[in-house]
Amino acid sequence: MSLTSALNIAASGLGVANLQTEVASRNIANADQPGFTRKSVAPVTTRSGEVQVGSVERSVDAMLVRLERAGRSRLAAASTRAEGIAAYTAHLGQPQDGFSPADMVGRLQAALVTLAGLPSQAAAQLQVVSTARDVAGSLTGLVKSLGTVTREVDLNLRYDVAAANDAMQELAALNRRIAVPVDPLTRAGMADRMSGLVDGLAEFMDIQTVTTPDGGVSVYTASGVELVVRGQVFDVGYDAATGRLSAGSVDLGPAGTGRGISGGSLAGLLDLRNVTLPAFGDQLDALAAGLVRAFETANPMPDGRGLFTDAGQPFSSLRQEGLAGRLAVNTAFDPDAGGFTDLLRTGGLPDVAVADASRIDAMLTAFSSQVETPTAGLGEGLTLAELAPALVGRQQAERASAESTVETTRAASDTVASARMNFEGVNIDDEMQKLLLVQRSYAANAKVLTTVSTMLDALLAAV
Amino acid sequence: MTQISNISTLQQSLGLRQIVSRQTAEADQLRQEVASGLKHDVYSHNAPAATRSMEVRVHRATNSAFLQSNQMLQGRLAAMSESMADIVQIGRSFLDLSLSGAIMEGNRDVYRQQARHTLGQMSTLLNATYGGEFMFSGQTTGTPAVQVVDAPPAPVGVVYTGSAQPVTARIDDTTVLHYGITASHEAIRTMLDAIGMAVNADLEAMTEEQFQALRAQVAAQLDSGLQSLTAVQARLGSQQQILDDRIDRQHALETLYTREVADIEGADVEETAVRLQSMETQLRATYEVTARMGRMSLLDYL
Repeated sequence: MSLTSALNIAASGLGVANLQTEVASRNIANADQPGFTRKSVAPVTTRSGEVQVGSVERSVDAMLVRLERAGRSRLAAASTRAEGIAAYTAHLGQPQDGFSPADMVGRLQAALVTLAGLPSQAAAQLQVVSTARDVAGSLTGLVKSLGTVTREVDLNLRYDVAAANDAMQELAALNRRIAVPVDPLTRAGMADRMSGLVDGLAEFMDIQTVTTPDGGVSVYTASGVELVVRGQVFDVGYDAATGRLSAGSVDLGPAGTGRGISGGSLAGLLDLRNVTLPAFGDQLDALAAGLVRAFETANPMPDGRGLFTDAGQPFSSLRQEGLAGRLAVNTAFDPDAGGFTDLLRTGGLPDVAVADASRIDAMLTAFSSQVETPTAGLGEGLTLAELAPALVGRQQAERASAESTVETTRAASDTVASARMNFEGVNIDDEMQKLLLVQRSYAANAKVLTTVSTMLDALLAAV
Repeated sequence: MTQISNISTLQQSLGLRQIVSRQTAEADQLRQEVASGLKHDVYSHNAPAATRSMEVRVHRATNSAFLQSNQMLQGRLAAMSESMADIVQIGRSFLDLSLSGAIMEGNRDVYRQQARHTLGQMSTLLNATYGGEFMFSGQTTGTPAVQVVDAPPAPVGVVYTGSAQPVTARIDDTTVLHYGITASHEAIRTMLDAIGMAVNADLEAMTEEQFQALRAQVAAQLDSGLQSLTAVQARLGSQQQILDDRIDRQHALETLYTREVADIEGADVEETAVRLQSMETQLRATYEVTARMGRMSLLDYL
């Protein structure tokens, strides 16, 4: 009967308008939630002319999502690395700050120049020993700072691994739940949550995803290592002793089987932990070795040690690793440790004339002599005077380059991230306009109901 | 169906906040550069130049230390030169006395006394100190250069207590200056020996011929010593000239190094101030746009 059909059709219109109002209100309420995707109701018309909710659709562009996640991974890796390097290089300062090892070595050289003019003056000798202590203190201080940053990196690796595993577990649980039929709004909410979890994972590693027909999401690293396959999780593990990162049994480090990660904070942290910070440590050791060896050669004591020692011992190429942390002024020269500064002049030999500056000259000449010890890639044919500026310059250049990479990556990443957020996000004014339309539709359907009801009443009154 | 391109309200707000944040950070850096006159981060501006700047700073510190040390050495050489001039003058006076005919048979004792006095004066000058260090003691600057032994009946003599090794000074990275003269130098020895001859000879027992022969011998030996000493004086003058030149060069280097460091580390204040002004204008415009967009909403018309 046509009047009854009209009533049903108007009632179905009211039902869809109700859901559209709910969806619009959800959109407006969550407009400032990052990761919330704009929802819209997709109505369908039945054969009887009624309108029904076909589905609740999320506004998502798969290509934009892939690009944004890739950019997110690259940016996380670059910024993690840059922050780690900057945390250490802050202790080197700018050239004008005057507390870098280059400044300290320069001061030692200047103090020796003064001493060469006044070889037997106690104050000038003390100044040399004091600046030598500053040089040693500067290097051991940097080694401590490097150790602190390395420990921090190690801690962050553990935290990030734990957070990534939590996210993967939750994603696997959602994969299992989404397979069970639920109402369209709940399903869309679950999809939002899963997308948020995958976005979070992209900040830890460079990943790729595969979406199953039932809405589940499987996650792999960019090189194809399984992380989450439907309900199964391949936990990420980190071995602090070896600095090895793995998923299941696969090595995720660059030294692994070619299936390592190259993006995300974990890649940045791994690079810091296994490559960049150890290289900085080697460079500090190279400078320390250069100092110990050069002064041993220029002004050796009868026992073979020079102004600087390896924790009291003479230089040994077998113990160069970690030398910067053990660098110390030979106590024989240090009056605070019961030593004699005059050894700078005499070299521990008897009957050296008070104005004999030959040993001090030899120490000065050491600054313009080529460093004999390995320089850890700081450069070939460097003199001792050039070694410290080369070290500081190289490490600060590494920091500047890492920060520049962050800026470049951020510029590209921000563009895609903005596009994704615009595509997925809510515009409140637009939602209000949609609400006006729904309101009009609701009023019209209600009017149809009233009119049909009046017509039915008139029909019944005529009977 | 017509597609309406969407601008997310959240993205709009975040985008503006991001722009404000970047512009504020950049303006802050520019303000620091204008205030300090130095680049905010020399390494990010030009890392190789920053390394060069550190090297130049080390060179400047070393150069400055050499400059100070050389200025002290300059004083030492001047004092040494003055003492030598005095020694020459005293020696020349005694030479004049030896050559003059004023010393007669009756006053030979005056000649001996004058010789003894000259020996004492020379010994005092040879034991002169500068900054607490004996100038003519060679490398043993802590001990006097000479000692006059006057213990009759033994002859009066001069003992050289200093070192024969001349002193050296490094005046720059590559140059070592062997400077000055020791009291045991041949020229001084010759002079002191000549004067000693006059002091120790039994003048009263000599005939006039013998006395004249002695005076002639003393005068000849003294003259020979003085001539050698004049050559040493000339060498000392040349060393002073070398040092003066080096000091001038080090002053010039100091200026050059300072300029090079400033070129690398310094910010172009005028250019930075213009950039800062432009950045502040941009920031004001961004605030204006942010405020206007915040005020525009469909909600105000519903």
